[in-house]
Amino acid sequence: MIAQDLVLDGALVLLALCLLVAAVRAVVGPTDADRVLAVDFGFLVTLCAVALLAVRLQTPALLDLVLIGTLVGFLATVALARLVVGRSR
Amino acid sequence: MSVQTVLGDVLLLTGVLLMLVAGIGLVRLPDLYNRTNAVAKAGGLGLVMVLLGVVVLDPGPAAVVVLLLSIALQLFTVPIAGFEIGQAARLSGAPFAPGTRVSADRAGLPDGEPGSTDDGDR
Amino acid sequence: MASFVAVYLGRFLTANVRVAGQVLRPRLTLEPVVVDHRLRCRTDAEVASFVALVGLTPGSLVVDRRDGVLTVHAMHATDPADELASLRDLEDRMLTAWRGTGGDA
Repeated sequence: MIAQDLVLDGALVLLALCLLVAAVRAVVGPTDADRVLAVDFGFLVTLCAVALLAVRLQTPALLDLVLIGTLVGFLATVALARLVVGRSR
Repeated sequence: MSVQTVLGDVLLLTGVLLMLVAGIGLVRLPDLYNRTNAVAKAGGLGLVMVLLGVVVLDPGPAAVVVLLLSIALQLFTVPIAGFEIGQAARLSGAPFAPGTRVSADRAGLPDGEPGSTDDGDR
Repeated sequence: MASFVAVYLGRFLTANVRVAGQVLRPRLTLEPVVVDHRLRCRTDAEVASFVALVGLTPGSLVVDRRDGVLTVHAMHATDPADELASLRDLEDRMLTAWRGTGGDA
């Protein structure tokens, strides 16, 4: 089990790197649509990390969070995309 | 370590590596439209593989149902989110990267005739 | 129907591998194209599922849809005509699977 914990910890570190990348893109991103995309990607990475944590901490209850997060992330992306369109008109 | 654990871990790691590739793509690719493809990959295959890995590791029947449901929802919503972002980019006039060959009539025109986007079945 | 699922799954996985390969290549060799695809789908359900299938494949992105014309951005295409042909092929297969008959209805 120790080996698996190490694998999961490594994966979580990689995901933290991804989140950093998303933050950079959200700050730099030349257009507003780029920022929306970065937020979307950040959401995906967070969901991934929650799923990994559920395995690492042996708490299946965290998986409900993944289900809700999928829906909230989708709605947030669509709402932000519409907002970008509305503002550019 | 059992076969089940190894298979689950391999799926988890592949998914995480796909997310990492998508992150690299988010930095390297030249324009918004190409970057959307990278993110679609992270959402479409990366997250689904991670969730499948968790399913293989068997967290219990209730959790498996929740996971399968979120995989289905994920596969359903990723293309819609990509479409929304693509359309937002077009309508707000995001430029294509140099070298893009446009052989479409209206591509690149941030035209905004009101009411022209909510078309029904014609 | 089952054969369509198998074909699409193969397409989806190869597209994933191709996009990953392009991102990781030391020098980017992208050849993006934007093409107009005239839809042969008729009902809303058919159009929606075609847009979803194209959008789910990494490397191709639906940018706009207006008056039965789909504007598609493809990340790597050697030739716009090839890209159009492959979209046409996918639509044919999808319509065959949905209706049980060929595309021109």
